[in-house]
Amino acid sequence: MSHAQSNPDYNIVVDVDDDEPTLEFQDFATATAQPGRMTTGGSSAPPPYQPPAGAEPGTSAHSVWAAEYWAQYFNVDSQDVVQRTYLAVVPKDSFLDVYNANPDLWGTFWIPTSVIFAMFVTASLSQGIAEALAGSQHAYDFTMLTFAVFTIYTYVLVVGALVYGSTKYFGSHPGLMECFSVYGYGMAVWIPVSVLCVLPFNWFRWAMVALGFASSGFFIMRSVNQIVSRSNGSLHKAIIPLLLVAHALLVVVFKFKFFSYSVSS
Amino acid sequence: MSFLAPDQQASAVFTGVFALVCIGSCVVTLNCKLLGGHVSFFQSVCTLGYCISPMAIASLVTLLAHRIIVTLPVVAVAVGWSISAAVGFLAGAQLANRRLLAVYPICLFYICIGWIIIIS
Repeated sequence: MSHAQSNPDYNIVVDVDDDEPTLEFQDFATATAQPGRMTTGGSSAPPPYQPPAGAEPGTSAHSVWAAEYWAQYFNVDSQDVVQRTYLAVVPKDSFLDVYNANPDLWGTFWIPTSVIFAMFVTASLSQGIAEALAGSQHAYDFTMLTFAVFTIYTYVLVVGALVYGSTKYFGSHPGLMECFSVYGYGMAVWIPVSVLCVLPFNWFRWAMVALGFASSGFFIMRSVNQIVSRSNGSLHKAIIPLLLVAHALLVVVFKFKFFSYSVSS
Repeated sequence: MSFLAPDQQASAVFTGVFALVCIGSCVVTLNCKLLGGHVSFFQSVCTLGYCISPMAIASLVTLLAHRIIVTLPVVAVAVGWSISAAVGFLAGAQLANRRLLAVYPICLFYICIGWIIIIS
């Protein structure tokens, strides 16, 4: 091994050994298996990098604990969110096809939050009106807000996770965000329903609640059906009726807690 | 507001409102940042806090005048004022097609606070 020269006329730090091959600049754009040898005549541009088809967008370079990881799920425009919400309320076309092209968490979070707020406002409004009409003093019920928060967030998170877990167990390759989004966006119909249920006619409230159940129930069933049918589908028969029962329970809770005639205390 | 709530709910009300304002500002700011806005986190939380000041005035008015005919327009004006102030601040955040997605949670936040002022 040669050592650094101490000759003051030179500032060479490293000596090149003569028995090593000389380095030469290689043209990797046109190189084939043997570097430096061109077997084909013309050179063509390398094919653009193709990510593997169906790659999960979650393979970002950032960790889950960095904000940049979550920013990829907020890469939607206002119009996209409006379109997705419309597809959730009026389930004519497939929501999941549109959603999976660009998964987003904006709707999944803010729509249940808006539903909580809308139900709290309209429920306390209708209670206030009923108590004013009955002539008794109105005392608002703050616990209704905490109840709404707990119920709606728990429903979306727990049932969404259960759908994800069970479909994954049976081999349907669901996406976690996909399952949450079905339930998150599926809450959207309850905003107009809760506004309409301020009108103090019980038959009308039941009719609106039934419409809301039909719309959101059909949307959830259709989306979960689409997820489940990616596998061999013996799970079809088990999970979808169960989900419908869970959804019906939620709707009944909504009706009696938020959309009922208030009993003056 | 805690004065006017039923006794057993007084502390729950205070806790609820405090939590709503703190957590709400953070969540709204986080939403704006995640959508790709060029805002600093604490700057945005600070601005949202300052924009609550019309609400504080409105709640003072509500405390003094218990009639809904007075409080409703006052709170409505305060909510509109807060929202327009906060949205004006957002104009510097450069969100092109996503303005609605960033503005909507701000509106929700201030309307929620306004509603709590009205019903107290």
